[in-house]
Amino acid sequence: MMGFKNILVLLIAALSILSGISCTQIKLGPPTRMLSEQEVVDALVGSSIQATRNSNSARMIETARALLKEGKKFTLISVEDLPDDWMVVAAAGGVGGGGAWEYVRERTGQQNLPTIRNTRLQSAQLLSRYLDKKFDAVIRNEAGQAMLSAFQSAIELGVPVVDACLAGRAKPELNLQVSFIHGISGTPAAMVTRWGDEIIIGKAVDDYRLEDLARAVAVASGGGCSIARNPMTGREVKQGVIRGGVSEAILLGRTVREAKEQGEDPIAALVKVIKGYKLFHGIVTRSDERGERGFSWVDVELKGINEHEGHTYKVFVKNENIIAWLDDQPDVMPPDLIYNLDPKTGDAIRSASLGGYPLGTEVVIVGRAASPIWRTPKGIELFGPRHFGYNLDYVPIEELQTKK
Amino acid sequence: MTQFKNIAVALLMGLLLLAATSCTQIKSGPPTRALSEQELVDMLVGSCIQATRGAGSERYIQRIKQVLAEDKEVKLVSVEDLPDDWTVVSPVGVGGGGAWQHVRERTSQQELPRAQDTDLQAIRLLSKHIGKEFKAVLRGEPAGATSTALMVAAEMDLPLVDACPCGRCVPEIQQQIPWVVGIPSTPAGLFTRWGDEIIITKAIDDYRAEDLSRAVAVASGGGVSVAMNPMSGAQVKRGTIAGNLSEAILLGQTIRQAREQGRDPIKALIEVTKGFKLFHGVVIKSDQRGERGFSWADVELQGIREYEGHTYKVFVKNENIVSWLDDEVDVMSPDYIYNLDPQTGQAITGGGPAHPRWRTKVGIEVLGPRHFGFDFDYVPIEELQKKERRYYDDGI
Repeated sequence: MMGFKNILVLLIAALSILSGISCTQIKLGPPTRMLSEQEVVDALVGSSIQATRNSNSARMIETARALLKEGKKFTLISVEDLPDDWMVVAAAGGVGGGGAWEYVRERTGQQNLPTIRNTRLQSAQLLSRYLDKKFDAVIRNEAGQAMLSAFQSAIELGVPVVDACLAGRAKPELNLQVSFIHGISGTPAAMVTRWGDEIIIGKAVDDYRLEDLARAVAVASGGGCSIARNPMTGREVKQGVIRGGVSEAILLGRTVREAKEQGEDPIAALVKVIKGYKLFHGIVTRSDERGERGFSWVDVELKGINEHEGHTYKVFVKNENIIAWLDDQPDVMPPDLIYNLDPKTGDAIRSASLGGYPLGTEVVIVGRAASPIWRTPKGIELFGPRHFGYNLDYVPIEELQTKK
Repeated sequence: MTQFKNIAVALLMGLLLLAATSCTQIKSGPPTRALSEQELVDMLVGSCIQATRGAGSERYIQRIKQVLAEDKEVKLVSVEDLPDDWTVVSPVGVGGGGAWQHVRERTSQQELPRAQDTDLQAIRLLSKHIGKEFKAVLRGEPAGATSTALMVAAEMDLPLVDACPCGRCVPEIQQQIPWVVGIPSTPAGLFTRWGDEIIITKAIDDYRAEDLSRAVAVASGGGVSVAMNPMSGAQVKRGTIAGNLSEAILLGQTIRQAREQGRDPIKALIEVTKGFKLFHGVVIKSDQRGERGFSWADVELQGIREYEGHTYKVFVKNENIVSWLDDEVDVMSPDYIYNLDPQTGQAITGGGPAHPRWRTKVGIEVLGPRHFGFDFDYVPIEELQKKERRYYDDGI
């Protein structure tokens, strides 16, 4: 009798321990990983490299270090571990408004309209209220500054960043994202302007229209606006993103850092890791920039040095590097990637203007094949040379480089 | 006992009757008046006069006749009778002169299908967002917006409020009395020709509501349907020009009857509006350009008859804003400049004083000459017209 009682007690104890464990598991949710300071720094440098335009890693790193010092955690969740019913948001986006309406700037200046803080978070909150749903994770919409913004939004919302990217690079238009290829809408989207106006795009008939509308709001709002968009379920994320986008950023950042530490050429190390091409080494001789219709358009020309002495390189920029020519022959075509890097650090060059190349700067151009999803017929229709008005059929970088 | 029972029954019946009566009253709402076809035609013609710019009423008249042929009706409710707790809405079209060409090209290449009933859709979108049903329609401005308001009112079987937020056409959204008295035009629902849905949940002021709606129009093929001014009945009483649709009917009726009786319609109109005949001439210049969502025009007229040898200039931003007689300022916004062109092809310019609500300090700030970049203070039309250089004829 006594034995039976003991067994019962033991059983109950075991059950309660078991239930305790399972409770803890439920509380913990899916596995996430906290990034070390070094990983955060590498991710930011790598994200600048991925940007396909100028970027400012140092400023991002400074902001991230301050957050780490405050005890903030940078956490990552893999796409595989993402629960299907989680709600994910791209809450890291600013929409640029190059060529902003001047009279709005003048009037708001005369009115002394106060500007508000953290429109990025406010746009996420606005979208959350509109959808009546809480966001469980943040996804990076593109490379570059959006990496830091994704972490900031995630920290503020108390959620992880998904190890993925909607584009695998930075890109000039909202519709240039792989979710659109997969038929996943970027709307509903919520925008908050610098003065606190709130706009909801409840539905856009396609992502092109989301782009038109968001860009117009930015142009009418002093030249930029925060946007939270692409509310996606975990299931949709699994279907419609480029996986491992953040891990790759960490890898690229680490690659150039370690090469430098070991006294090796960071560019050579990077080219090896990404299976890319060193396309040109030169000095910026021209960078004609104009802001129009919400974008920054730049025509760039480089004069070759070292092994490229006597050659010229041209790049057409629409916010990002889009297409490049070596001695007037097409050298890389979109959606393939064109990185403009600092030869000494392997990091993206710095410039005061979006997409700009400061005159006299020494630049290395590195090319790389786009993700396979971008090279599908739909991807090329969306992001190929014809989308940008060039009467050229897309030729993959491998073929263009073999011809040389 | 039986008697008591009878009394009780009678009492109950009485109560029931009372209840039934009050129910009917609740159902029927405030008194409204169905407009006759003639009144509607007069309203549309009069509304095109109120427009302060070129406007043709024929198309609007055709549309409303079709609606009447479908056995629908348009009812009018006066501002006094409007219940304070009703919510009204203004359906308007926001123009996008200088629309983004690349959007037009792409959407036509895509062969994007056009959405139907964008005015109604914009209203539904706004209604859903604010969680309220609209009980009446307030026209946004004269001319096209009045036609839209009529169509929407007939379609939704809602009465039209006998009022207007501006009493004239205006180029910009913030240029309306509600904003002058501090009532915002937002939240607003926007519905594009392709079916995109946008909600301005909050604009920090009506200037920003204007910027944002205009931007959407420019990015949406040059126009967008907007449902705005979700005002309560109490706000309508405070923030609109009451009786403004009745005035449109009166103006339409005035020129119609004058014509029928072989009298000069312009003269009859000026008598009724206490306005001024300002010029009679032929258009010799109209430099137009579409830019940043607006249609800008510099107009020049060469005088004929009593104005022979004189010239008249008008600055147009969608609407007539400022005019000059022989390079002397002749009328300033917010006062009204009508360009009337009933049959002859010759432009006749007439003007009238703006509604007193426009002539307040804020009204002039919002719609006065300085708003349009002119470096002079507003002078009322009566004062400008008092000057000696008038050439009054026909005893006006």
